[in-house]
Amino acid sequence: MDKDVQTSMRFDRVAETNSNSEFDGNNGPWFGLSLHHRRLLDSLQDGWLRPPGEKTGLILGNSAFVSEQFETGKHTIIVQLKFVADKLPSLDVFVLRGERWFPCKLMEIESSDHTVYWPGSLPTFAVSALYVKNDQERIRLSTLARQFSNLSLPIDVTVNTTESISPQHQHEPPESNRRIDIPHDEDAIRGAMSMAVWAVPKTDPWLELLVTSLSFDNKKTTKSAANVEANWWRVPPWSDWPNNVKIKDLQDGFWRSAIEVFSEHSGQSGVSPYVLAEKIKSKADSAYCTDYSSTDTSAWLDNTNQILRADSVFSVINWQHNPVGKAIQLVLTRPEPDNFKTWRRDIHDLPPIVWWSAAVLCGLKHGYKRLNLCFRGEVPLQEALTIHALQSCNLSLKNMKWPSLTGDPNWRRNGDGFELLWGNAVIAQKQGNARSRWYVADFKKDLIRSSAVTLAKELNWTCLRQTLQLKSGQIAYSGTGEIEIRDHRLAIHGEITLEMPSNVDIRSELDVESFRHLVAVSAGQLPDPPQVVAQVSISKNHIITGLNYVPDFVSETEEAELVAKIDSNVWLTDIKRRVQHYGWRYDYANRQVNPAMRIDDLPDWAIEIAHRLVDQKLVKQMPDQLIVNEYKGSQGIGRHIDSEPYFADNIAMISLLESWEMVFRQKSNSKIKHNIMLDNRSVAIMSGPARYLWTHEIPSRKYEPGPELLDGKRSRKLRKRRLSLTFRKVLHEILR
Amino acid sequence: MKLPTYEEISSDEKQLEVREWPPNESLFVVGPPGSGKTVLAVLRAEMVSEWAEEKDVILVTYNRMLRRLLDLLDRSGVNASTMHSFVWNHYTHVTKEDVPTLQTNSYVYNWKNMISHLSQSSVSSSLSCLIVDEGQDLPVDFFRYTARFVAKTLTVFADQDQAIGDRHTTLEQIKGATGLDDPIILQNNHRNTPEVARVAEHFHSGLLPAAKVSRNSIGEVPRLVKTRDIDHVAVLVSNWRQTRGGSVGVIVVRNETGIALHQKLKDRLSGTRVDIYRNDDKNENSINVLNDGVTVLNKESVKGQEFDTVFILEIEHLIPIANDTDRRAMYMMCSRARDHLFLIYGPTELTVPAAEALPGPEILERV
Repeated sequence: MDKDVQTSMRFDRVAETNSNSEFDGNNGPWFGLSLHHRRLLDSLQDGWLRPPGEKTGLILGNSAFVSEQFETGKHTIIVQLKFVADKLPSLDVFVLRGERWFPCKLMEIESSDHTVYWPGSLPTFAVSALYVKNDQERIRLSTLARQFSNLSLPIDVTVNTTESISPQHQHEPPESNRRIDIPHDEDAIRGAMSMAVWAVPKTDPWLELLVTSLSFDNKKTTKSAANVEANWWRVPPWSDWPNNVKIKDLQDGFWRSAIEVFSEHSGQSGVSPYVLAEKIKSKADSAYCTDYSSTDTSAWLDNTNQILRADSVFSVINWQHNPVGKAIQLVLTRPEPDNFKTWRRDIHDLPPIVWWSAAVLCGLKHGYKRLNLCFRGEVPLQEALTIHALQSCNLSLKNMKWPSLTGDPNWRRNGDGFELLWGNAVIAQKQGNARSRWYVADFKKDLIRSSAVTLAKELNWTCLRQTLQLKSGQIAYSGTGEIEIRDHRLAIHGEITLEMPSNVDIRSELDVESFRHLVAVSAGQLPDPPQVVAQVSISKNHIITGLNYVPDFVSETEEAELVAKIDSNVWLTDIKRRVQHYGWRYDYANRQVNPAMRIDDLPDWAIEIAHRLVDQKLVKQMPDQLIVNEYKGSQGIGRHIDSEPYFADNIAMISLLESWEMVFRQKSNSKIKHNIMLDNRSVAIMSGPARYLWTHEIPSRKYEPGPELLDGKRSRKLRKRRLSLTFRKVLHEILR
Repeated sequence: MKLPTYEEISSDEKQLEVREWPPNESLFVVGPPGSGKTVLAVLRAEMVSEWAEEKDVILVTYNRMLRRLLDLLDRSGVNASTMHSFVWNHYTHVTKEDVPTLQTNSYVYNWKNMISHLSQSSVSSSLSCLIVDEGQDLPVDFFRYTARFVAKTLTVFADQDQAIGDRHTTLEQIKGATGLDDPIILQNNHRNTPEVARVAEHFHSGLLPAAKVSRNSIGEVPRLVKTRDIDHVAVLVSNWRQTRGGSVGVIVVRNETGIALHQKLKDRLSGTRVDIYRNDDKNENSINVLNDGVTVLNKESVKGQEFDTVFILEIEHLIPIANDTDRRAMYMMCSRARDHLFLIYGPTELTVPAAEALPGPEILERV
């Protein structure tokens, strides 16, 4: 996954997890099950705990743990799972009363009902607790779960000594009408949906196509597909091809046959790419060949075989002639998602439609179960797609209500990026890129327009109108033709020559709508629009008001230069960690600044950053003091609020070299705390409440949560060195 | 570190057993090349480190493998060391004296003196756990020393096939020196596709049968390619890398070929990592072969490496096979490939005996 996408999401998630843990209630009804740890790991791969063996459902304890039957080995870990009722759909279950099973509504189970039969599979996202019997097992289970690319524990493992009970009954109740069965094609569909969200191009029309296609709204999907010149997307891979939708062209033919062939072989290996290519070609020919010629498909197959044999290389040139064919080639040559994603690094000017169509086909072919976590998104997205993919392919469950998924998919812009919503709940966040910024740039501004014109010329985009500005005067013409003026048009019949004054002004005018359309759909790498601030604020559901955060505030090159500059200067060693002071020296002992402590103006490199902070409206006043702090290994800084009398509001902290967490605690109640990950090259700005009503600290510890994985718990990183650059404005009135 | 899916591992009972082994118990594991021992050693270190209160877990390996180990250890807090520097640090730390070496060879530790010196000064194990990879390549006295004076628990990974190379230590010797229980024997090859493994097995020798392949087929068969000249090879390799991505290893017999090819590949593949790796160059620590890109290496440097795709050049110099050492070298080179393998010769035709030394066209496709 994009590093930038991940960082902003991680920033939000960490804060959320912490606030939840403060109020970890889970007092509602729950059902318990204890099972072999291998069965748990197996189920976590796709998030469904299926009935064991030949059974059709799961036998659970009501507020107790019923044990599954399994053989234990020397190192078996028995895991107790707690499923909370308020994450489960309203499904009719059975309860054991005496010797008999009685049908019962989930919410009407009585406390005297000890044993519950759940028809079909249970989603692991409903697990609210994972218990093992001792600390050694806790460590084994949690480290074991970190050893695989395609699963993570839904919640931390805790030690609990409650005994499990054996089920009183092994026979199952009579067949129930509605059961949660996971159809075979669910895996391919969820794989495609996950990759669709992961790879969605970051401009508005693509987000629109993503959500309309996910919501199975044919009419809207057709429209939004047409908007990005991707008509084949009117039937997404997760929909059946409707009878009334005709195959219109080669693209439709390739799209439909690729979907069929990749679905048929989804999750399988051992079928060579040559065979898949041949199958797609012949399917496109035989089943869907109407208006297009089979010479086109033969040419595509020849080209594909050459690429597969490395006789020639994949090229995006002329992609407009066969975007779907190109997308299929991307999947056939790099079918594993981990390898597939490197296409974007290797070919910089992949057109969005080729990239996105290919990513989705790749997900369809690969399936969800084996999919690396990095493509699955955050937990809310995983939950949403678990339910949505199931409902898409098991039609009998289509109308079942799930508490965690209400409403329809939607999207909105949020700051520089996007949010994907389901109903009112945010399920994924995407950071913006140059294209998303161009798409909403303010074209009324001269600088933006002129840069857009330059860009359009460079890229040969047809979105410019040549205009001729003429002032009062007379223009001679010659030739055999005639000129007529009508309806604000100069109509010319025949051939004429106009004699222009030497100072005539010919301009390229931007057709804004065409330009924005090209920003969304064309190939090529775009630079950022001028003076666009990539500002990302913490969204309003977070409790620390006034804490703003911008990832990638400093580029990698700049980071290296800054570190080199800083390291070439003298470090002060009067406190535990090494520091450098610029502008004004700060007296740690007396917590103050006085006029004698004025050093000099900030050095040029620091002024440059200070200017940027002001230009991007991150701080109100130009900072004039900088402290560089070096944190090594387990070094930290205790809980504090920056000196209120000596420093103004708006304090900016730039992190370099490593991503470490900063802990914020409410001044009035230090138990309320949030761990905020400060990624390297980011800036965090404390203003108002964040500056005055919250303390901040860097914990003293050896490890930080690692950056690579999505759930934060999986990886940890040994701390080595972090530099923090704190920019402040000294309050001069106090000094006088 | 590239982690497997649970599905890939769940059918390999022995691998699971190693992964599930309690962190506070000693463990002895043996397995053939490709069974994933080094990765298991790293995962073991992470689990034990989580358990050990002092977080004092150290991974020790044979010299040449350190770099690979450090790359794998990337995100965990475990320390890794070569056997030599680990013992040197430990001994000088507890005795405040230099390590005694043999009079005849000052690079070889005098284990006998060291052990008797430490027994007199009543040094006992202080480290929570020591994890040893490539145990067969370390001297047996190292195990005696470790078991008595270094670590409270010990995990040892060693290669199972006694026939390869000149080993320092047999499995029985390791057991004898450490008091470890019988080893868990890994049996599956997790590295190669069945197609690649079939070509490698054609050159397999050794006392034990080749490991059972646990990976799924990818439907593409290794190929034998005749080339016109080195430019032709450069086109093939660079086209392949541009199309298929991933890590590519190019094994050459002659260093001149490697140097010339390296330059041509660099010219053709701008924006991609293209490195050359020679055992006489001592540059091995500067190259991260786990990263995507192309690595040119000679057949002496290839041990312990693995790539998504391997091209073996100049096979006319490697076949027909003269002796067991050559056969083992061929096996070792072919088995470096995870997914794709190319054997390359030319411009002259292979001799009849050379061609006959290769597997048939259903195993090795002729182009």
